[in-house]
Amino acid sequence: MDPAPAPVPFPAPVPPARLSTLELGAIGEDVVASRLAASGWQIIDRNVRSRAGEIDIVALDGPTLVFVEVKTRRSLLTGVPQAAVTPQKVRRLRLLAGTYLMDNAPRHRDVRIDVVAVHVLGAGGCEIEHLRAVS
Amino acid sequence: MTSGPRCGQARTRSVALRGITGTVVEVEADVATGLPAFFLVGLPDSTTLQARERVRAAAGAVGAAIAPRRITVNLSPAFVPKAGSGFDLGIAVAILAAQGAVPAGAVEKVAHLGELGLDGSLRPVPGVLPALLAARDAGVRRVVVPEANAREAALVEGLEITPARDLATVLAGHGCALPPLPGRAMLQERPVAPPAPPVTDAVPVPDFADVIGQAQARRAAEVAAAGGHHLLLQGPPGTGKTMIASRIPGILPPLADEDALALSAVRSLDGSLDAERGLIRTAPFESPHHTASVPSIVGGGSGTARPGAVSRAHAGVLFLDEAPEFSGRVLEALREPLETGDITLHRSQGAARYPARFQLVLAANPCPCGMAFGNGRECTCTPLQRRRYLRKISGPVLDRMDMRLQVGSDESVRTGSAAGSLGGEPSARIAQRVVRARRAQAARFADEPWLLNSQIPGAQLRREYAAHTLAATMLQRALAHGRLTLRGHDRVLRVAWTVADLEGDARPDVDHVGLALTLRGDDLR
Repeated sequence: MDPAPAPVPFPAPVPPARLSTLELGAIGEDVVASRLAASGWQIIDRNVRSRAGEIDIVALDGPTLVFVEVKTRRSLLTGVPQAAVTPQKVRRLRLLAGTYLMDNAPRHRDVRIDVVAVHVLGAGGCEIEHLRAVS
Repeated sequence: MTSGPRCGQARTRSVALRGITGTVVEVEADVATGLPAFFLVGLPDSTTLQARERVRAAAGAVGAAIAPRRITVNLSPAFVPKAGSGFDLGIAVAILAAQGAVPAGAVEKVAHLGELGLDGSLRPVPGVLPALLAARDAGVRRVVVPEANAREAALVEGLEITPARDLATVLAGHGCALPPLPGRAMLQERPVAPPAPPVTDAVPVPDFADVIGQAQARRAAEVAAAGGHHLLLQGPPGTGKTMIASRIPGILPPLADEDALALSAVRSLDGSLDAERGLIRTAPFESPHHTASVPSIVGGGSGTARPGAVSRAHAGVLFLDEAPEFSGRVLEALREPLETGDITLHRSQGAARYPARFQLVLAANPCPCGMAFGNGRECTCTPLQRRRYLRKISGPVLDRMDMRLQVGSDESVRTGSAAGSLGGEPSARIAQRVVRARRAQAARFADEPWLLNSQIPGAQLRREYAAHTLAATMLQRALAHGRLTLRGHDRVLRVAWTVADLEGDARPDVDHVGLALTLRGDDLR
């Protein structure tokens, strides 16, 4: 087995257990966005809303335009966060990505959809798993 | 950025069965990053495909959860159709090896068979015997089977068999350290008990000693058993047709290794093999009811065809009581296996071949009311009804019957003068003569591909196995008078050989051919 990576800080104002799911998700997205930016990605857009739904993060990974879905969970009782991205949800992400590309896409060579799973480990921080090109 | 079980690939083995022909299958598992998903490819049928749910639950139950990753399992060769739940264990082991829970090297060469329960228990599957025979012939040395199949698996020599009661035992056996779970007791591996000695008379077969009179029918049964000939018994109700037919297995010699394996494999497939008794050594006796459908007799079913009564009667007796009551299609379907000794069934997922070298014994009433014997005065059937009745057994089928006997036409049985001769010759004594005759045939055919007189091909029969001159002339005359067809001529000659073997003579003479002609009887119409 791979050695478990060191937990990433999860900057919540109160213990994560007392956050609402909305607040938790927003913090998760912040954490992911800042880590992606730190690793050299150029964040283009956050929380792009349309009638069909919302794209959490739009970013450029080099020449590739990436649509990122962030899933944050406090417990694994209902399964790992990435399991919540069902094939149906992936289809909707593709639809949203298509709509976004028609309207206001920056210059890019490839398009990709990623899922980032954030598992919050209480106050100690969180574990992040980045799944590339999920569809 | 990733944690938990690693990604990777691993493989193990299993066996796909088509009929009783097995193919060793590589079960390849690929565990990759991606959204959690579980793909199972390589032509699984719906039962095999549902392994995904069983494997996930079973692995979780024994504390070796399937990783929430993109899992692809391929059953290779991917073009061979896979059916049944026997791949469950192989799939689970391959995935757990791919994600690093089990040493991949430990499982690569091992074949795994068995269905998983949701609690991780390992359940028996049908067809273990033919599957393991195929695995051994393909060079597999070690197999893991469900404990409930261990006895059956032990019938196959030259394989290291590891029986297991649940998935935890299997994983532990491969060197996987499972976390202790509450409520789960680790089961110890147990050695397989050696197979029980072959039991030849496990089911009591009725004895010929119970048959009153009917000397000619007994004689015909003995000849049929000795040479593997087909027999038609015709006569009114209550004259002992069924009685005689059901006693034939009692005088048939025990099955040779090859037949015992083939028959046991067929039985294993339909779940009726009692492995506690070892290989089936007793000649089978199948007597389907006359309402039987074609698939139930010759084999059938969707996807891959399953064996029917002709295959369950392999190397034994297929008895059709009230033969004219069977559907014409059933009787006609018997022609092919009667000629070739096996049956090939084509279905959507390919052809399955089963052994079907049975001895056909037919019993028929002379007419629908059953009274058309002697002077036939009591018969209430119209001539048309009578003709229609016997025409149900078509010419081609009738012609393939080596012996066609009228039973109960002799008055001695009816008047009771034969009743004093209670307790005819017991089966054991007849069986001794049958064994002797079989030995004579084995010696004569030592260099030939066939075993019994009934199997001598026509060309060789006429060239190398002609009767004595006088007897041959007798046959020629019968042929010239139109009493025998050419096929009938061959069949009479084969029966004559068996008669000669029973009497210890080296070549059939006039007496043997005469008896064979009598047993052949007239054409019934």
